[in-house]
Amino acid sequence: MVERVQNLDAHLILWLNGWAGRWPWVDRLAQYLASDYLVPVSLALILLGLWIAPRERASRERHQKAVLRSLLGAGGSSLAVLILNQYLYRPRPFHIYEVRLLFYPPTDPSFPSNAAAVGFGMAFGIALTNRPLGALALALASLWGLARVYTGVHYPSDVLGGALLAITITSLMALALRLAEPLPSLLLRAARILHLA
Amino acid sequence: MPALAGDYFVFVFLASLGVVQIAAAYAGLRGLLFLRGRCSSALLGVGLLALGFTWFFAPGPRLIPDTQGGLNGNVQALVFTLAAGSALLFTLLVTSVVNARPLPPHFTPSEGLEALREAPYLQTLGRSLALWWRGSKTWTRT
Repeated sequence: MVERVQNLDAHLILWLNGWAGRWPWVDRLAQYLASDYLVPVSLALILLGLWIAPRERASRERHQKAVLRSLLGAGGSSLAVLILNQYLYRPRPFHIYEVRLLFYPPTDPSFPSNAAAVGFGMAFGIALTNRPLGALALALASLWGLARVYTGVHYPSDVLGGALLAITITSLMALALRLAEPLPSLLLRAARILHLA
Repeated sequence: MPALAGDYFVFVFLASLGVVQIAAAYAGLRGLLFLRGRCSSALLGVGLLALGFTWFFAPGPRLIPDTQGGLNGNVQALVFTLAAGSALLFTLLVTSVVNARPLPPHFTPSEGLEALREAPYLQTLGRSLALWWRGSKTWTRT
C-alpha cells in the first residue's frame, strides 16, 4: 500500500514538475505562489478584514471567533508538523529524483507539508463560518500546496497530509473553543469594552 | 534581524492599513476612515494594499532560506503581529485626530466597534471610560 502511494506520488510530481521550464511566466508565477510570504500574508490579511468588516454585532462576534479558531488551527497544525518531524523523516523529492528545482532546497523533512498545514489551518477556520471567503482562502491554500509540488519541494501526498492534519487540528480547536465557553466570549467582551472588537 | 524583516514589516504595515480601510468602509465605521467618503476610503485601502504587495514583491518572489537571511515561521508571525498592530494603532491615532469633532453632551457610545460609526476612537474610548468611572463611583456610594 505504502509502495503504491509512493509510486503514485513519484509519478504525479514527475508529471507536474515536468511542465517546469516550458513557459517562464508559469514558472515565475509558481515561484511567487510557492514563496513563504505571498499566500500566508494574504490569508492573515483576510483574517484581519474579517475581524472588522461584518456589519451586525452577532455576525461580527461569529467571525471574530472564526479568526481565533483559524489562528489556533494554524498554530496548532504547525506545532503538530514540528512534532511529527521528530519521528518521521521523508527526504525531499529533489533528493531522490531528477526534478527541476524552482525553489531553494529546504532542509526539513518533506512529510507533512508545513505550508499546507498552516495554509489549510487558516483557510478551514474561515470556511467553517464564511463559505465565500472560506472558498477563496481554501483556493489560496491549495495553490500554495500545488506550487510547492510544481517547484519540486513537496510530493502531492505531503500537501494532502498537511491539509488533512490541519483540518483535523482546526476542527479540534473549534471544539475546544466551544468547550471553553464562556472564556472566548468574555475575551471578546473585554475587547468590545475597549472598542477593539 | 535580517534586512528582509524590515521590508516584510513595511509590506505588512501598508497592506494592513489598506485592509483596515476597506473593512471599515464596508462596515460603515466612519470613525476609522482617513477620508470622508466610504468609496474613496475603500479605494485608498485598495491602493495601500497594492502598494504593500508591490513594495515587497517587485524585486522578485523572495525565495530565501531562513539560514541565509530569510524569515522562519516564528519570526514571520512576530513581525506580522508587530506590523499589523502598528498599522491598527496608526489608524486609531490618525483617524482620532482627522475625525475629531465636539460630541453631544449626553452622547453614550454603543459597545464595541459599532461605536466607531458615530465618533473616532479616542473620543469614544474617553467617553466610555468616563461613563464607566461615573457608574463605578455611583455603585461604590450605594
